[in-house]
Amino acid sequence: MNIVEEIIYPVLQEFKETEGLDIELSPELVIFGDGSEFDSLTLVRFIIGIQEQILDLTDKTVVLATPQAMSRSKSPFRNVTTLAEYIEELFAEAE
Amino acid sequence: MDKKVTLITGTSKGIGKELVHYYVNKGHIVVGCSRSPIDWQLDGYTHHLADVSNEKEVLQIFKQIKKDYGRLDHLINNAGIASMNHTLLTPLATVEQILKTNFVGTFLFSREAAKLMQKNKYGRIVNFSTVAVPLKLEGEAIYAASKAAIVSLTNIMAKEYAELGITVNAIGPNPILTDLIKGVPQEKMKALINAHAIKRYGTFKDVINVINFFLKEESDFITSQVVYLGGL
Repeated sequence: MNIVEEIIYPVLQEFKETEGLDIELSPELVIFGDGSEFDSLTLVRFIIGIQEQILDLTDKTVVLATPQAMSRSKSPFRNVTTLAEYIEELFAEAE
Repeated sequence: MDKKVTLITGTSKGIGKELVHYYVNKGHIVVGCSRSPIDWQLDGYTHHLADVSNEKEVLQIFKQIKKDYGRLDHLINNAGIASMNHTLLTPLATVEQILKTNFVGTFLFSREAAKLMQKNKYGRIVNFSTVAVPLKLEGEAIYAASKAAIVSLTNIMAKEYAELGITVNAIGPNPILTDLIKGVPQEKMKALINAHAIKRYGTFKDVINVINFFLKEESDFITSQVVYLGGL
């Protein structure tokens, strides 16, 4: 499964359209931290959206914002690429 | 779809069952759950067997609601258990069971409901607290503590969900003649009733009146409130 194309981009596209976010979909798009277009509530809703997209496509219940993830020195939510790598990691752990 | 979708927990008997009948008659699509099977049926009502503190079972209910209706308008967190005992005599297992059903259940349902409700930027969550919280009733330490936690949860979720168009309020019923208080001595109940401004038992109608107020579309400026019946 292409995590960026099938999971992350569709959710970002939906947010772009419904929330009017001024973003260009790219692997480097900043999601969390300096340079992000997401305010805190939009970020929470985006994470919920990603979890839901994963559930819809794979029937897997994944929790993204775990204490372990939040305490990493390099946030997995930094940009599209780091988020995709993190989701891949969670999929591998679940197998 | 014009019909409101209303989810109620703890619907096998008592207030929960009354609420199901009331909101189905009002034209809502009602979904409910309980740990034990129900011995009644109602058109417009779908029942799930689930323990409200079991995350997997709770997620399954929401998955089904999303599939069937694509949205949720109201959540009434009615499921609750009580156990009257002196703290010196209260087993840990009782504490864990009360916290799980009353607090964890309310948390899980509210979290999942808000995920669905935020899509439409609309939702009403009504939680159940109790007059045992402000009255600090002896013999009800664990029950009251679990319901005090629900007040905190209500207040904070109200803030967290405000921007999502979701209101979160709680009702604190005074004693109502249900199974929950059937083991409490008459004298204790009398003393409890006398502590209220209006000295009578509560009724289902009283509870429904407050819940209706919280659920109204016009109540979009009413959040983080706890209404104690009978006046405290």
